[in-house]
Amino acid sequence: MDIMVETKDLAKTFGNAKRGEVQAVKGINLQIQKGEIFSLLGPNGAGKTTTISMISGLTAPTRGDATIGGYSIRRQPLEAKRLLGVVPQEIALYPSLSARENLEFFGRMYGLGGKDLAQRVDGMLDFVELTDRQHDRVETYSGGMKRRVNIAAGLLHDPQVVYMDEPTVGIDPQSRRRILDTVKLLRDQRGMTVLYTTHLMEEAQELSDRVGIIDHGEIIALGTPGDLIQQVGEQDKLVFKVSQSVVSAEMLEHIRSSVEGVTRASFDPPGEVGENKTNISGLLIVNAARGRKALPFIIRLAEEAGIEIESVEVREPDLEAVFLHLTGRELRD
Amino acid sequence: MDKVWFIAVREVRSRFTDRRLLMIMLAAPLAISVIIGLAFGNLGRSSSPIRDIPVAVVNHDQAGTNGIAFGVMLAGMLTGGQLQESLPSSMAACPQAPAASSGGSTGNELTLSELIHGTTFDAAAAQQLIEDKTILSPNAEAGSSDYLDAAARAAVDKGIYTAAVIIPSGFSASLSSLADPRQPPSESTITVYGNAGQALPAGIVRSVVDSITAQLVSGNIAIGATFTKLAESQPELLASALDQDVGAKFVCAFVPGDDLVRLDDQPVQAADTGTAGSILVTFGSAQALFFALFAGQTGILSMYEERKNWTLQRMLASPTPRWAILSGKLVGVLVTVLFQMLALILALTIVGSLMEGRPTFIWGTDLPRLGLVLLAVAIAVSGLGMFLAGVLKGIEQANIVGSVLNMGLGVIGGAFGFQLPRLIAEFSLIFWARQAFEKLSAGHGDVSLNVLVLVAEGAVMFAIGLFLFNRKFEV
Repeated sequence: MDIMVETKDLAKTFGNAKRGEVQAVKGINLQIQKGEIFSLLGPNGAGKTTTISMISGLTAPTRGDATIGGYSIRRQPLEAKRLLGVVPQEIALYPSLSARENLEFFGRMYGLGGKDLAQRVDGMLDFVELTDRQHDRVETYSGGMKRRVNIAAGLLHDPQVVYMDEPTVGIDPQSRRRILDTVKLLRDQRGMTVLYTTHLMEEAQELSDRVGIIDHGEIIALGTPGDLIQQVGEQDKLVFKVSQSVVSAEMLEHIRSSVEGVTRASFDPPGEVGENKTNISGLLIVNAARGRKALPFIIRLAEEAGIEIESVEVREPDLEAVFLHLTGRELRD
Repeated sequence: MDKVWFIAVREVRSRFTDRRLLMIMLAAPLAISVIIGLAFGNLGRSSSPIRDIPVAVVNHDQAGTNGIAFGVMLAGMLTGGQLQESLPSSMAACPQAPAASSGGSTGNELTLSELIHGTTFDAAAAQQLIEDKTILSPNAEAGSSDYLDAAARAAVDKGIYTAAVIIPSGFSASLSSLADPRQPPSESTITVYGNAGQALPAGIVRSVVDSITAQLVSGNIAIGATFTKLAESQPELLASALDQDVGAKFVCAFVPGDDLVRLDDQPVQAADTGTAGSILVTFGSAQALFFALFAGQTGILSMYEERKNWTLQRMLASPTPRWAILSGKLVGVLVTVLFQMLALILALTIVGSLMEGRPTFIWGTDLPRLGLVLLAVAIAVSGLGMFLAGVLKGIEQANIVGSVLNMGLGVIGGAFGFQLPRLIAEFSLIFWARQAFEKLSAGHGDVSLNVLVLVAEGAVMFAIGLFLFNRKFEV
């Protein structure tokens, strides 16, 4: 497949030797294929925004280079930028202008004009389902509508690569669903390469063909969501809410040794420290390689031991767990 | 270049659809100018608040070698328009000398005697004020010139008089020396000491005295030039003339007319402007400039706002060069300030016409130069905005510092109704622009220095600002 976005030893250092330097990005190497949805995950301050800013030509790298469609963002910035659409996290629109006027203005910044511009604006307004409100000022729109115009402004010139920075922040679930579907449409129908940043694991897992996890300015994991989960060897977690306040150590050991795939069993009593500190029920927590398969065996053992199960939850490993495994911190820390 | 234009158009549109900014740009300066115009605009009418300005006239002058006491003439005019009484009989016959009955106004004209209520300030007047404990006894030898001058100044400071006109002892001799080639040239200066709290009437007194002395001086210079020419061509005739009474022969050359302060006098190319118009030009232009500073800065500093809202990043992420974005912004600000100034000029013209009771274009008839001044103002204002954008660190800091700076420039430049000494005022671009508008309104077309200062100031500040801004503007 064609490489659409590539970074080579891309690095950025802020400050200077006298006042102290901060290495925001420490030499990142990435290759993103054409038609791929690539998510960059990482906590605040990890270097996501700086990396993306360098790729989109907003910030000059201290070292290395990035190419878009083969054009160097350092040496051929205008050519590279023509291929890139930007959908920032902020609503980067002029609130006193209408949706149509905003789109026309930003379209002109990409060299569009005349009938071509008018047709593209019509098409994009239709795509984001805002044709009927096109002449209203953006400041009168709901959050979800603004987000959609924000996306439309980034897609108007039909870019080959679109960068979306947390496009679902602060909107209702219905609008969020619509945006996620839009992202998939861009890849499936238009063959666009999407560079997506988010801190929402479920979004990244649902959308991404591949994920890069960035921390302290370095890519610490790279691959498909499934590969990453597999790589770190995370297991399912079965959480049983039980009426007992005590489960004996012998019973826990019995579950661990007699059910296939179980690697660990523990009990979290009610009102104590840990996960169960606000609960009046106790929590029986079992780690298993294939949790759903082990579930009926554990329930039978519990019944035999007279343990009354109130509810069961199967927690499958996710990218959050991957990040926790890799860094010892939660992604939202 | 298309992108520069699109950015500029959007910039102008944003400014003129922002109601808050429109208030600052147009409504506020217009309202303030109209209020000031209404307060002082009836100057030429009997109900004018500026009439009978109390002036102390201290005359130390004695007659010159030609026998004419110019100081007495000046003092006489200021103390009730008594030119007839102060003139030698030969002068009273001059065609421009005031008639004995002169002293009242006709129509919209305002005579000197109506405008200035002069009082001869002599030793007796000083003593009276000291005895009344209105003023303290001056720290000078009693009866001396310094004593009298100090007493007059103290009376002005106390508000008894709006101004004191102090005519030096060598005034007549100085004027006579201009007309008589046999005399060595000498200098003397009339002092007009004004009350700081009454800048406008004190300024009027100063203008009146300047006007009278200018005519006296020009008359004497004309005579001197005639004699010099005569000395070259017909020395015998000159010798014969000089043996006679020179003053008596040429006296009409420097007899002031009785219309020196007729406020509806119109110099060549000047606007058909009455007092209301003049005041609107002075205050209106200063107010327009003061608020244009805010509009200009808001335009340039909106770069910070755009960075915060990410619209700037969206532009920078497009294939639009950085220079095009900055140029578009600058052109937008220039056009905005030009529109703002033009709108205010038109609005103030309408207000001035209403106050004058007839259509009056108060800004002069030299429209090309008026346009040039407007362009220079827009450049200066934009330059200042760019400078602030380069020096300051963010929109919040820029708003605070920008407001304080604008207030300072307004105070220094005379936007608030009082004038600081010119040496200080020259530091404000408002002064240079206001002066240019005043010159054009009065028909004095040479505004090249003003335009030069404004453009140079704007260009230098823009260059510095752009350099600093580009260096630090990492998005």
